[in-house]
This record gives sequence, C-alpha cells and structure tokens, in this order.
Amino acid sequence: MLSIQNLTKTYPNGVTALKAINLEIGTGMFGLLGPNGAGKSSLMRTIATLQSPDSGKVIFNTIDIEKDPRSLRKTLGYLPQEFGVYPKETAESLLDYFAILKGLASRKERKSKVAEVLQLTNLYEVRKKQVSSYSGGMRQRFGIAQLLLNDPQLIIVDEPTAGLDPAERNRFLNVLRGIGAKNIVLFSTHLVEDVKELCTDMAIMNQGQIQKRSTPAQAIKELRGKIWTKRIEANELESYKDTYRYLSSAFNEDHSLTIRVFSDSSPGETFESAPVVSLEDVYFNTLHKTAEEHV
Amino acid sequence: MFKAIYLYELSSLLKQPAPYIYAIVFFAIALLSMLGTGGYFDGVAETDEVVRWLNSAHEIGFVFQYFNKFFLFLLPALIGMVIYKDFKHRVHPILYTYPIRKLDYLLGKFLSALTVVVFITFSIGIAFLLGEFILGQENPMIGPTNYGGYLSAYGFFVLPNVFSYGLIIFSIVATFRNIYAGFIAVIFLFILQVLMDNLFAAYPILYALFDPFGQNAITYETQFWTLAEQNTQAIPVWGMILWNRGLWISLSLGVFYLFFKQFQLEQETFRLFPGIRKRIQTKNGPIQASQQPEPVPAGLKLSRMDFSIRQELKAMLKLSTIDLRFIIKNWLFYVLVFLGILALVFALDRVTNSGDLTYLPLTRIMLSVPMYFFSAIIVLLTFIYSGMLVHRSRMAGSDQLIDVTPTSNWVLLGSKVLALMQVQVLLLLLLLLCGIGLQVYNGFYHFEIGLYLFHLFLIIFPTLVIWAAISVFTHTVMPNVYLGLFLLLLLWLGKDQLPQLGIESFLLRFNSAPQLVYSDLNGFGHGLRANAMINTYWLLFAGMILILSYLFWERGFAYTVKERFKKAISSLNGIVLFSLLSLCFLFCFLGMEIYQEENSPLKTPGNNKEKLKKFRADFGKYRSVESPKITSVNLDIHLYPARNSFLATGSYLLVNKTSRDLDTILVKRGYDEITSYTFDTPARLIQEDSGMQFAVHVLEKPLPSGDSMRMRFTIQNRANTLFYQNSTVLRNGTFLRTDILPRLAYFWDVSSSTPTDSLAGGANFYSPDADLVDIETRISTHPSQTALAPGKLLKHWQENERNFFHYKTTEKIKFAFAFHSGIYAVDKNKYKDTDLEIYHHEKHPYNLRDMVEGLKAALDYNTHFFGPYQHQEVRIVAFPHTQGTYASVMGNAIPTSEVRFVLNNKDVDDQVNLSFYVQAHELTHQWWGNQLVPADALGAKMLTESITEYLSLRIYEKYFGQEKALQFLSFQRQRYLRGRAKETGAESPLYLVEPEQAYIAYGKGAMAFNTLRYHLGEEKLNSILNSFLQKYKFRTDRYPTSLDLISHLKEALASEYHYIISDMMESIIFYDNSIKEVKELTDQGVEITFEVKKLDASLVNELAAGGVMINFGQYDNEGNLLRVDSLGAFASGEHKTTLLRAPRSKSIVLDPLLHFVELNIDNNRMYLK
Repeated sequence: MLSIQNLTKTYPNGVTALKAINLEIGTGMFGLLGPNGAGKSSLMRTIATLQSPDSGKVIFNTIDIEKDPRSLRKTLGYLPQEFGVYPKETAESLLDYFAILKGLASRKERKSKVAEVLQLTNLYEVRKKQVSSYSGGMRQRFGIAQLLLNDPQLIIVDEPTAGLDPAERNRFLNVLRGIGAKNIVLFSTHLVEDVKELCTDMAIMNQGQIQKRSTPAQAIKELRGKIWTKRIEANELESYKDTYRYLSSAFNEDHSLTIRVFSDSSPGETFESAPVVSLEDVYFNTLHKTAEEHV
Repeated sequence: MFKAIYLYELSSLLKQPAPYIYAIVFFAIALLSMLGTGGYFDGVAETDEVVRWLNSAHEIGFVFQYFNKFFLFLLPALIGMVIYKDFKHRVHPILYTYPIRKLDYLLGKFLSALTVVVFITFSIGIAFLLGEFILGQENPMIGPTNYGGYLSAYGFFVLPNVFSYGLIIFSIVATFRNIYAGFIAVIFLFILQVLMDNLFAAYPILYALFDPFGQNAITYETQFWTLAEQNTQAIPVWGMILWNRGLWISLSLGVFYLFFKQFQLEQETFRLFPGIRKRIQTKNGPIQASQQPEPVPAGLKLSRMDFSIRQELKAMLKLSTIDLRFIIKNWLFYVLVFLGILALVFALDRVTNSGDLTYLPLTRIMLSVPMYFFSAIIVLLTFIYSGMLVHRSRMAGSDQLIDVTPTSNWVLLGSKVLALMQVQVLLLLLLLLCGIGLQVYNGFYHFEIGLYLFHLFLIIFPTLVIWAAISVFTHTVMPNVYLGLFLLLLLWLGKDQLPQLGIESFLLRFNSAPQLVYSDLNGFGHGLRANAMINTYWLLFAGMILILSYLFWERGFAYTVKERFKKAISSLNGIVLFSLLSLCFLFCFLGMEIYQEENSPLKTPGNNKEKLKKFRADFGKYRSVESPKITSVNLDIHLYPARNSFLATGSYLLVNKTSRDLDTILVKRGYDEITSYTFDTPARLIQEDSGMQFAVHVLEKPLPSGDSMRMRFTIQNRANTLFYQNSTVLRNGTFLRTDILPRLAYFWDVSSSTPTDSLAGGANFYSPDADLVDIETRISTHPSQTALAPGKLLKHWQENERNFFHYKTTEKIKFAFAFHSGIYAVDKNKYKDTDLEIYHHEKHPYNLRDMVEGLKAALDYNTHFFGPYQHQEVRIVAFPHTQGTYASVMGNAIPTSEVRFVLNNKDVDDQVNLSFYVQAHELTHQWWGNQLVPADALGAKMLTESITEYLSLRIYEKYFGQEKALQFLSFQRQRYLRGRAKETGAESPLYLVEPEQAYIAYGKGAMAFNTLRYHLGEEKLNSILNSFLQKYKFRTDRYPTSLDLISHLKEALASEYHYIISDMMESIIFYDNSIKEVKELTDQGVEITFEVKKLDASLVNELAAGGVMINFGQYDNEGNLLRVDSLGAFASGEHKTTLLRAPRSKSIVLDPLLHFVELNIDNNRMYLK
C-alpha cells in the first residue's frame, strides 16, 4: 500500500507543482491521468526519492521514504519520462551495470536475471546491440527491463507511451500488463487510452491536485445517462461551449461536428443521450470542473 | 545574419558568470604576481647590481608567455563551448533547418566567443599597468612605462595565439562534437612545444620557427642580450618572430578552411573518414525487433540482493572497473598516452644528452624530468576524467535510472575515485615499462625495479590520489564542468607561485611535498620523512574533501543551494560525522606538528640583507685587522652516519707572521655548527654577534712577531629538523669541507682589491687566515664505511666497533680540506710513482677508465712542462649530487660529484668527454692554483682557471685530436657569450675578473691563451708560463696577481703579439670580421675580400685595429678542415688576399680556429662553387 499524505512542492521559480496531495494506492495498475504540466512527473519523482517535498509524507508499506529512501529504492522500479544511456554499450552490459547498482551481488544470478528481463521485454535477440541504436519502443522496453532487475514491488513509469507508434505502444503495454498483477504499478499518462486498456484504478490530476480518484468502471458508471451528443455546424461550436458543459467534439464526414456535453438531465430536445460513456468523457468532465474552479 | 548570430551569442555569453570569473581570476593572478615579484609584500632588496625591470618589453613578453598558456584553457571553455552547446542541447537539428549561411553561423559563433576571450586577456594588461602604478617609479624594478612593449606582447603573441588556437579548437570541437576534444587539443599543444624543444634542440632556428607559442622565437632573437639591453630594447618582431607567427596563423586558417569545407549544417556529424562510418552503420543497422507477439512469462524468479558492506565494496570495485573501461576504451586516451610517451622519450633524451653533461639513463634520471613530465600528463588526465566520470550519468541522461537504485552514494563516489586511481596506476606502470624499455634501448641494463616502484608508488602516487580527490570534489560541487576544470588548472599551476606571494608554509601549499632528490650514494636522504609527512597531511585533507563530496553528491534533484546543504546535513550521520571529525583531528594534529617543525628553534636562522647590513656596520672595522695565521691543523673527527651527526675536536697552531705584535683574534664559527674554543694564552671577548657566529677577542698579552700560540676547539653539528638539513653528515657519502671549522678572519668583505693595490700581493686568494698548512687528522666512522682526510694514510684500525683512520700531509697544502665517509668501491691505478685511487659507488664503474686517462694525461703534460706533482697520490672521491654536481681539488683529493661518474662518454661525437676533461682540469690545478696560489685581488682566476682551462684544452687535443679540441673551444666561446648575457653586474676584462664571473675566467680565458699559443707555439708559451710558475711556486710572502702575469707575458713576447693581450685580457673587445666576397680565379686561386672590424663592449662603437693576424680555413662538404692559411697583419677595413684553393674545398671560413671573440660568425663563411 502506497500512501501519499498532504504532499506539497513549490519550485524556486514559484510554480507550485503539488498542492497538498493525498492518495492511497493499492496493488494493481494505477493510472495517473492528466494533461502536460499537471504535476504528474513531480509527484512521481517525489515518490521515486529523486526530490524532496516541502511538506507531506509518502509511506510505502511501512517505509517513510523521506526518512529512509534506501529501503524504498531496494524495492522500487522507476522509469523516468526521458532517459539516456551510455553510448557504445550493449543492452546486456548496461543491464549488468544496473544490476550491480541494484545490489545483485552474484555474477551468475545477475546473468540469469538479465537474460530473464531481456526475454520478458522481448529484447533478448538484440541484447548484443547498442542500446543507443534502439528504436523508441525498444528503448522504452529496455527501460522496463532495467526496472525489473530488482523484482520491485513498487513500479513507477512516467509517461512511457509518449511518442510510440501504435504497434510499439501495444507491445509495450503488454509487457507492462504482465508485471502489474502482483505489484503496485503507478503509471502516468496523458492518454486516456492507456488507462482504459490497462488500469484497474486511476486518478485524474491537474494543476497540482488530484481532481478525481476512482476506478475506471466506477467513473464511467457515474456518468451513465449524463452524456449527451448533438450534430452541429463547426461555426456553432463557440456558442455551444458557452451555453453547455462542453466535453469534446469530433468531425463527421460532412464536416459537421458531433459534440458531447455533460448534463444531469437532457439539455434539450435536439440532444441525444450518448449510447456509450467513455473514459474520455470522465477525463474531460473532470478537467472542465478544474477549469471552472479556476475561472 | 552574421550580425544577429554574433550579437545573440555575445550577449548570451556575457549573461553567464564564467567570463567574469575568468577575467577577475586572471586580473588577480597577474596583479599579485607583479606585486610579489616587485617586492610589494616582502620589501625591495637594495642592490647595486643592474636589476631586471618588470615592465620592460622583454619582461612583459616573457611573463605574458606564461599567461598565454593559461589563456589556452579558455579556448575550449568559451570558444569550443559556443558551438558545442548547440549539440549538447540538441538545438542543432532545429537550427540547421533555418536558412542560415554556414559561414555566418560559424563565424558569428567563433568571433563572439573570441571577443569575450580577448576581453579576458586584457585583464592581465590592465593588472600589469596597475601593478606598475602601485609599485611606483621609485621601485628599482620598474622602468618607464612601456606601452610599445604591451602592444607588441598583445599584437604578436597574445592575440595571434588566442586567434589561431581558438580557430583550431573551434574546428576540432565542431568536428568531433565533443568539448573534451578541445581540452585535449590544448594539452596536445603543450606536448607539441616540448616535442619541438627536444626535436630541434640542436637547431635553435627551427625550434624558434616551430614553437607553437612563439616563445622561443623571442628567445632566439634575444639570446645574447645583456640585462641592460633586455631592460631597454624593444622585441625585434620583424625576424624570426614574424615567420613563426605567420606560420601558425596560416596553419590555423588552413585547419579552419579544411573544416569549413567539410562542415555541413546537418544533424549527423560528418566524419573524417566517411567510409568507415558507413560500414559501421550498415553493420549495426537500424534494429528491428521480432514482430511476433511475445509470450508473457508466468512470473519472475526473485533476485537476491545483498547490501552488506562487503558486497558494497565489491560493487564499488566492479563499478570502478566499468568506469575504467569507459576511460580507456576511448581513443582520446590512447592519443594522449601516446603523446605522453613520445614526450617522455624526448624528455629523457634531453636529460641524458643535454648541455654540458651527458648522462647514462640511470633509473633516478628516468624518474626525474621525464617522470615530472609524465606525471603532469597524469594530473591533467585526472582533471579531465574526473569531470567526465562525475558528470557522466547526467550527461548521458541516465542519472535518474542510477539515482533510484539502492546503491549508496559512497559506493558511487568511491567507484569514481577508484577508477581514477586505477587509471593512474596503469599510467605509472606504463611509465615504468617505458623507462625500462628506454634503458634497454640505450643499452643500459642496470635496472632498479625497487627504486622505480618506490618512487612511483610511494612518492608520486599519493600526490596523484590527492589530485584525484580534489578533482572529484571540485566537479561534484561545480555544476559547470569547464569552470571546474579551469579552477583545478589554476590550483595546479598556481600553487607553485604561492612562495612568491610570501606563502611558504607547507601547511598552506596544496599538495606540495618538499622535492626529493635521489642519490645513488645516499638514497632519498633526509627529506623522505618530511615528504611522507606532508603527503600524509594532504592525504588526510583529501579524505576530508572526499567526505564532503559524499555529502554533496548530486542525487536526484536539488533546486537550490540551500536544498543541497539541507540534504548534505541530513546525510551527516554518526559514522560520517565521526570519520570527518577524526580526519579533521588527525589533519590538525599533523598540521601542528608540521607547524612546529617549520618553526623549529633548531633551524639555522636565515641570513637576510638587513642582518648582514647591521653586522657590517658593527664589525666592518675589523676588515683589515691583522691576526696570527693558521699554520698547522690537528683534528679528531668522529662521524656518526646513522645519526647524521659528527663530533670533532682539534687545534690550530697560530703564528704571528707579521713584524708587529698582534693582540686581536677574530673568530668566525661554522655557520651550521655548534663550536666552542679556547686559546692557550688568556684572551678577552670584546664583541660578538651570535647570529653571524662571529667574535672578536683581545689577547691579554700581545703575541710578539714570530711567536706562536694554540687554539683548541670542539665542533658538533646542529641536529637536523624535519625540513632543514643542518648537518652535512649523510647516511652514506658524507662530504665535510672547511666550512665546519672555525676561521680567523673577517669574511664579509664586499669588494676584492685590485691587482694594482700594493698590499694585494700579501694576501692569499683562498684563505685570509692561512697561507699553506700541515694537517693531521684522526677520523672515525661507522664500521662499514671508509673515512678519508687530506694527506697520507698512516694507520687504520678498528676500535669499539668503529673504523679509525689516521692521515697526515707530507707537503703543506692550502686551507681547503675534504673529509669523506662512505661505502666505496676503490679503483686503484698507478702513474709512475703516483697512486691513482678512485673511491666510488660500486654501481658506478662506467667512467673510471676515462677519469684515469684524464689524470694520466694531465700528469704527463704538466710534469713535462711545469715540474713534478707535489703529492704521492691522487684520490678521486665520489660525493652525492645532492651536495653539488661539481668536482674540485682539495689537497691530494679531487672530490667529484657522483653525477660525474655516470656520464655517457661513448658515441658522443658532438660532446666533450667530460670524465676525462674534468679530471685533467682538476689535476692541472695542482700546478695552477695549488703550487701557484694567486693573490687576493681581482683577476686571481685568470691565473688559475684561465691557464688551467687552456692547458686542459691542450691535454684534450693531445688525446682526442684537433677537431675535438676545436669543438671544446667553441663551447668556451658560447660559454663566454651566454654568460655575459646573464651578467647582472658589469662585465670585467679578464685581468680584473671577479671570482664569480666564470664565463670570463674559463670561457674567454681559454680563448685568450689559446690564441697566444697558436701564434707563439705551445713550447714557447708554456715555457713562459713555467718561468712564471717557478718564480711564485709555494711562495707565501708574495702572491702573484694577474698584472704580474701580464707584465711577465709582455716582457717575454715580441710587441707584435701584444694586441692579443690587450684585446683579450686587458679590455673587452669584440671583432666582427667578415668575408665580403670570394672570387675564384682560374689558376686554383681564390681571391677573398674581407673586412676587419673591431668593436668595444657596447658592440656599437668601432675601434681602430692594427697588426691583426688572421686565418682562413677551407672546408670540404663534410665539414672537414682541409687547410689553414695564416695571414697578417691587418688593420681595420677591407682587404683583399689570394689563397690557393685546396682540392675538394667547398667553403672558406675566416678565423676557423676561433682566435677572435666574435658575436656574429655567420658572416665569416662563404661557399665556393
């Protein structure tokens, strides 16, 4: 159980990245959804012991991570949003290097562990190639391989799917799904798809705060019957935005727009109740709320 | 577009703090060094000598050269960085898609950074001007402000250097897209200079041309400048200097042009060898993983993680080898190491084959200059690689991956330090191998592996570890790698300048243990303990800063300095705090010890000018007091080599040799000794200066003329302190001289009397308190050692486990004694009835034959011309080179520095066989210096050194032939010309030569007598000299002066030769004779037009010459002298003469045998078709 209590962080440039965040996360895939700049990376770095909060606490099982970062690090797997690797090193030798850093003392065990994580991430065939020559998806899988070396119980992956093509993204999510069952996997993304496909639990974060905390199914259930759609002309959009609680829109083939709005009851006769509520509706509805609060 | 780029880059550079820091640091160093040299901190010494002006064009040029090298390090940091940052921040893919012209882009970048660098260089000029102002015109070291000097230093050196090397470094950094390549290019330039130096040592003109910094072009142009000329003349920039500058600027433009042609505004870096790149690319290819959906495994096997201390240490070691691999896998490393080895080879060649002495490649020589050079490379590599290692993960972007692992900071830090140490060890081992390799290559098989290992790993390695620690610390706390590197370089180059600023304590001079000098006889001697102590002191400091590095180790994100401190303090747990405090305690404790030792009361108080001045004022009145003279010496000396001490008791027999009663006795005690004494007649102390160890006594009852009295004394050495060696007793190879004994005269006279002084003939040049004396010595030492003293060995016995020897002179000798003790191998020879013994280190058999030959040849020659040798034996005794590198004659001994036993006399075509020559020279002094003792007046050395040097030349020629002798003579010419350039006082004519003006006494003196010899013939000149010797031999009533010799010569010589005496002995005269034209006649004749030109010492004013005898020599293609024609006598002006052309002659040389003192001999040669 990962427990985040009252976590606050303000950077020297005056930006408050985390505003008294409280969050309890249990075993399984946990999706942290939010737009760019929401504070997801700050939260993840803090949990990953890379920076200290101004106030608040993070407790993992019994470990207070600020007081005892090392105990957390022993059981932590972290993949930052961006990372580089030493040039001219093969995946195998780099993983061996990381395994040493992660405390795998025996050379033999290191070797078999490295082979195992390479197979798990489907990189075994290219283990003798330099990581710096890997494609984006392979590199991200290499990132997963390195975080698995110490059998982490807490895994943090920060926006891992950004910039991956659909095939690579699929392959990557498959790998992640495989390891999420028994551990806490904290997964941040700005793509609703990722959470939809993967997560059993989620939070939506914006402007340094948790805006919504729910399971995807529950959140969708909450909105059932409250999402309405309508076909409009593109130039009407602004007036609809002003009048209704607008969530999203999509172009049709005839260049008209189908908009989705939120309303507890039917906003009008021209609106139809949406047959399916998507997680995207939840996301935009939550963000809309935040935006309103800040007006 | 150029303007926009230029201005943008300029303003962004000026927004950074670094340029300002650089400028301030340079300003401060320049100002401090100027003020320090100008005596601002420790007072200006008063002196009558010509003083070097700090602000003459020559000196500004000289000092700026030093700063020029510093400036080079700015080039990668600023000029390299300005292009590198586009690659580093990956701006280039975006930037290069813009419609920018390549030239605008590159020049804008380069010139903006160059502008900043140029402004930084101005800081030293401003500092110097300010320094001149602070020191003021009344300071003797400040001449009139010389703006031209500044202008030429900037215009010809500083600016061309930063421009050309900035351009080269800019091109290199842009080519490799690697900022370190720029730093390495700078180091390469340094090595290049050393290589040029060694490569062209024999061709100064080439060195002047190819020196990358232009430094040696100045040296070349000004090599014969006297100090006065250096102070007032402008640097002649239009000759070699212009060529040199032109060469390097064109070279840099060429490099830039090549780079410019290749450079493309493209994302991918271009390659010097495009073919190779392609092959690698296709081999590695764009990688595609298999496309099959992968099976998801059932679950992971659990890893065992171990974080015990033992495992962490093991991890540290493993990580360090990974870092080591990273360092040594890089080709730059090999390039540098290769250059280092190259420099090592050349440096060694220079040490073993340089200047006067040509050494065998002994291990201790391998470990001296070459070692110093190579360890400098190791230090530089340490600076660079520590930066790379500390910042490596951040630069690669792997820092977050590494920082979240459970590995402790101390393991990470330790692995970096260990990796650096491994590199250092690797390089030291490489040095060892190279050293041995070079020895083998030179056919020298006496390896001293133990000495190598001891020196490299116990003396050098600790200092390298300290450098590694400070480097890691600097790079840990400095986010800017280049600023960190700069600060480290500053510390490295600046620490040796601290004494100049008055900071002399080892406590404050970072990582500067006292220099150790190894002697084969005496080992590292007494300095070893101090060295170890200072190294330990700084190692403790290194430990402390490593703990600080641990505390401030950058892990994760800390956004403010405050946050870093907070983190550091929170890491300061019990063990860390305890270690830090214990190290701090030990550091302070050792510091206290060092402080106490440095300020030890046992240290012999230093003399300074103030004290001396006061002393002269108080005691100067005794300058010409007449005292009884020492006629006989009796000594009991007990040496304790293991304890570095001795105890001596003894007595002098004093005789009143004057015709009056004498009642005053002056006593000067040994300066480094503790002496007590009594007289056998009652005497009263009337005045004493305990600092100068000088006392004045008055006898209750005056000593009548002809009467004698006895003085008894006890002497012991002062104990050594850690840093100061007061005792000359060594573990092995002790060499005690007369200065341990009490002396009976005032020794602080400033000026010698002139030879015209009527009293001069009465005083002995060497000892005012003794004429010639008997000495009897009983000397005891450690049972393993042999002790030597003047005279014949009467008895040798052992008593109380000590070796005793009893020596006594058979002939009276000068008051100059040598007492030796050591473990010697003895080489015994005989020349007629004379024993020739060489006491030497058993591992120094190399030069014994040459030495013996030298002795024999000198005995042969001198006994033939000047009568018998006065002793029954000649003893050459080796002493450690820490005591000097000279050889000298004392009684029947010739104490000879150990360096003169390891000379490489074989295969040295262009060198003098010094082993032979030095012994021949010293032995010749037995006639000229010992049988004939000069009067205490100016010109005394003309009677000893000039004649001896001339005779040595004769002996040398007899043994080695004319060609070798001519080489030797040409060395003497250079010795004179170089010596006068360094003269700080006024140059004297030979007959008034001052005792310290060796360049005149030896160099010019040998030339003068040799010229006489050529025209008179050897027999004639030697017989004239012999009659002079016989007249004064062993006389103590009347000592000869140089004037006595000159009038003797003039009497014996026809007046046509007198001009040689007056030109070369009585005045300072130069000739600038030259061949104007050579016309080949049909009948095998050559018509030569030549000019005789005589100059005074200013080399400007012409004098009228008359009756000058001239030689012409003809040489073949190989430089063999085929024929010499002597012609005479000529007056100043142009003359024509016709010579018969020798078959195969290719050139004609005026004065081939160096009979004239000429500054310029380039115009003496003309080639024939």
